[in-house]
Amino acid sequence: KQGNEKEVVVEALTSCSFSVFAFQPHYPQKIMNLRRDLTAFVTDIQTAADAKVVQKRTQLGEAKQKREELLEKDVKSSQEKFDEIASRWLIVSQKVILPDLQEALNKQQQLCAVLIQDKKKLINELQQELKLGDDSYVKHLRKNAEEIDLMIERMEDQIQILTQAYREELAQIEVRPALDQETNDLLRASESLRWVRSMCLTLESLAERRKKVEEYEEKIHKLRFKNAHNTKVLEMENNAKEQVCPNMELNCNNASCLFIFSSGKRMHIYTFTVMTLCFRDENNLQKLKNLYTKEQKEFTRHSRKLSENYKRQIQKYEHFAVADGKTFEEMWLMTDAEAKQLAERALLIDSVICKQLLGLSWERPHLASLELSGPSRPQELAGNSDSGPERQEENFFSDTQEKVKELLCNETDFLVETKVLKLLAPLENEEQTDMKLVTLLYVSSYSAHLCLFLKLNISSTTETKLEEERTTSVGRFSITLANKWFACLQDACASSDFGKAEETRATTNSGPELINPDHVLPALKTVTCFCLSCPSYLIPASQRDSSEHEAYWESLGNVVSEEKLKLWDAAERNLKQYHAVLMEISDLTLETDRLKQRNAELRMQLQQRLSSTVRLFLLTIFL
Amino acid sequence: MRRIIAENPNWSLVVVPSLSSMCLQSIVNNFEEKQIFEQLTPGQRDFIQEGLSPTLPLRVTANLIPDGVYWKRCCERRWDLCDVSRYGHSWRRMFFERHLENLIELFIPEVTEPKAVLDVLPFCKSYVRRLNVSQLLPPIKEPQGEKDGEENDLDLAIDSEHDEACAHHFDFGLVLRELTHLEELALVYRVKECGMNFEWKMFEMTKRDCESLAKALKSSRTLKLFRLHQSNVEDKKCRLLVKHLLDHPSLRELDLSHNLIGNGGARAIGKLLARSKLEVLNVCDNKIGELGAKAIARALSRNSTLSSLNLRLNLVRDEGGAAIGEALRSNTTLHHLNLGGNDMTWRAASALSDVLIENKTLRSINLSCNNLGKVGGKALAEAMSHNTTLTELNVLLTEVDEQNASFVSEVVCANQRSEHKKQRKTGSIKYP
Repeated sequence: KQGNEKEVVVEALTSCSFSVFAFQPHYPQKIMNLRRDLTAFVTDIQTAADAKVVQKRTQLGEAKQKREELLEKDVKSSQEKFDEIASRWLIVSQKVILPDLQEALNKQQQLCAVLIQDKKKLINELQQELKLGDDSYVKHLRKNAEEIDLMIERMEDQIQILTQAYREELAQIEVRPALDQETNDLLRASESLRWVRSMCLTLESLAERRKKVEEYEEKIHKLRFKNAHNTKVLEMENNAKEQVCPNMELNCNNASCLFIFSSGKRMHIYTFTVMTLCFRDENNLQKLKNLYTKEQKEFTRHSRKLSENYKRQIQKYEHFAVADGKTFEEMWLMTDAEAKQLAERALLIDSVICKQLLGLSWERPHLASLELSGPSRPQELAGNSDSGPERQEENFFSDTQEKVKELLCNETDFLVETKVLKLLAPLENEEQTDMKLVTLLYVSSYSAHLCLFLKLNISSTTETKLEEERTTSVGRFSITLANKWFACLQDACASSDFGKAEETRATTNSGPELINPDHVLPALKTVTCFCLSCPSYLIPASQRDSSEHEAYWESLGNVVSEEKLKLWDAAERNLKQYHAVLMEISDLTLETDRLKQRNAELRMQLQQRLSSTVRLFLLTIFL
Repeated sequence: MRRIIAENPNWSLVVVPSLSSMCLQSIVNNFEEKQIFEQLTPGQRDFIQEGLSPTLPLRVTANLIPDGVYWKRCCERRWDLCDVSRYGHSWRRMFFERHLENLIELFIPEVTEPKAVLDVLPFCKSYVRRLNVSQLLPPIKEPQGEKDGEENDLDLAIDSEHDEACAHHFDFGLVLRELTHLEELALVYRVKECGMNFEWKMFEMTKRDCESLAKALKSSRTLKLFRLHQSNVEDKKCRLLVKHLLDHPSLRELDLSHNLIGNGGARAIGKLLARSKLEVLNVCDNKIGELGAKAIARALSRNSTLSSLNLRLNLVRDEGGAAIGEALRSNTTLHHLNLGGNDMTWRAASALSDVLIENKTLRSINLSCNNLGKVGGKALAEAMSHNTTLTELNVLLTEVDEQNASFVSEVVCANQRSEHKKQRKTGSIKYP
């Protein structure tokens, strides 16, 4: 048992040490040697312990054997003695005499005592042995403990040595990567240099190659051209030859056939290239077309937008015009009323002056203008005839006008450029016709005159003045122009003795088929001629209106005549004189009044004084 | 405004804990009642693990608190030495294993309620992988001791029977069935620091102990290592244990060193080698004689799993050694063989050296403390000159002459170097 515990401890320690050492598979030779030696040291101890255990075992075995022998001997001897005692008991039992018996018994007792003593001796011996064994066990334990301590110390030393070794190894490992890195850097640098060099070389070779390729391309191009030229020349020659000598052709047929074949081949190649070129051109064309259509679309959209914008503007202006017209009318009425009132008053004053001051009989001067009122009045003055049927006619007239306009435009389309037509396409029908007319007018040879006339027309129109003032746009412009034009045309038709014109007139009145389209142009011509010959005709009636207005306003201003004014002046003068005299009189009357008052006061004072003196006198008398 | 600062000079705003830390503190204080640990952020969990009391009942903490600071605190509070590397770097595992070991070591049969251990098992079972029980207390029998003291001399048979009936230790059947992750079990039937109360009975297992232990071992399906030291295991008990360990699905290592196993037990072990997947067998410091060694050798010649055999400090002698050597001719798995202190002579040495020439799997042989003599040394040296695989051959204290010993060590060194190179090439990490 003794060795067991030590055994266990040693085992534990060795296993410990193994676990310490066995965790890294790769070490250098030095560490490996160290490890082996150090572990060998521990294993040596273990084997030593084993040996001790074995020794102890054998010792124990020997001791056991000895003891067994001793015990056996003892058993034998004691058995002999016991046998002796037992045999003696027979003798003792045979003894009859008491003293003999006593003696024998004593003897027996002695023998037993000896036996017991022997036994005790043996027991003592064994006990002593046991004690010795115990002591040795304790000693052994102590020794084991000491040894274990020593071993632990040694193991600690070993661990230290090993850790140091490991540390050195680690340091080396740490140093090595740095070295490796340096070498790596060097290698990398050299490698990169080499790489750069090789790259340069390859780049150069590539550049050379490119140059060569370009050269070859040029050469090929030239060769192609040359070939093409050659083949053409040859062809021409051939043709010439064919033409010149058909006989020769037969002879040369075989040879030329080959040549033609080859040239044909070449031609094929050229045609192919041309085809490709054509194809490219077509592509380009297609692209351009696409672009063009796109642009066109955009443009039409743009123009539509603009036209819309324009319409809106026109509406706005119309609205403004109407509003302005209203205000104008109101203003007119107001000022008119005021002026009339003033005139009335002037006449009243005049009548008073005449009747009261001069004592003359006053009669009211006849003034038509005073009886009339409103801005419609001048219009009516300007108008030639009754309004009712005329209006209707006018409406109808405007309709026909429109139609004629359209006809005119459509007939004279050929004069207008298609471009313009296209541009006009998105616009509305009416506007379209207007625009066409304008362009037509511009295009026609009379454009300059017409333009002049146009300007004149614009400046002079009072009928549509309010509107025209604002609508400077071409559309409105052209409408008025067309109106005038149409009027002229009609007049021209009427005035001239053209039978066709008469017809036209008739158709105009009768229905939608206004003018025969064939007659439009001659009619136009006559009209323009007429226009040019008598531009004064075109001066509108509305201009006269302004003079009327002037006259009206003048008449209003001249309600009181010059003579009357003179009379008035004289009367005023007289009145002023009269007034001055009257003023003097009034002053004088005031003075007299004052003086009268003073007189009265003075009289009062005198009376008082007189009375007082009398009283004093009386007092003195009485006193 | 009242200023508290003026009244207490030691007061400062730094001392005032923030509301969140106070909340966490209250969580710590009421941890047992309200468990909201899982809803906290990792930072707060760390705080709680720092502040939690280690005395909390295990049913609360066992599965809730992860491995870490808390379990470290628990361990360090209970034990001075805490080598977490031996427990797979898991503080929780260490705590539970040692906790369970403590419970078993202090378990007194018929006094301690088995419930005390069984209650802990549900929490332990998923963490305990190894149990290293260093003592098992016998039942207390004070009243009997005084009474039977006088009768002892008169009626030994009855007394021993009575003892046999009642003196069994802790029943492992209860524990091993529950522990579903147990891989290692090391037992010693002894009492530590018994002092003057020494009795031989304290250092041996009873028949019933053996039976219950054997059944428990059979019931554990995950056990890989079983170690039973210094427990006076005789042939009978060994046979009983082995009978239940036959065809065990997971057992890889068996250690029955420092016992009293003789030839009968060795025969049983030989049977076990044939009917199990044992890789390591350690029966050192027993009483296995020639017959037992022969039985083991027979099993070894057929076995194809065992890689390490330790028969140190037995009584194998020449015949047994020769038998084992013979078995190694047909064996291709054994790497380590220890035959130290087996009373062998040159005969066994020559038989083994014959094998060394042929065998290419053996890595280490220990023949120390045998009386091999010069002849044996010479035979071994000759064998080693033909061998290139053996990296360890211990011939210390075998009375081999120095020349042969040094030659042997040289060859071993050379083999080690070549082995080392090979390992470096393949990059495999394999070392004894």
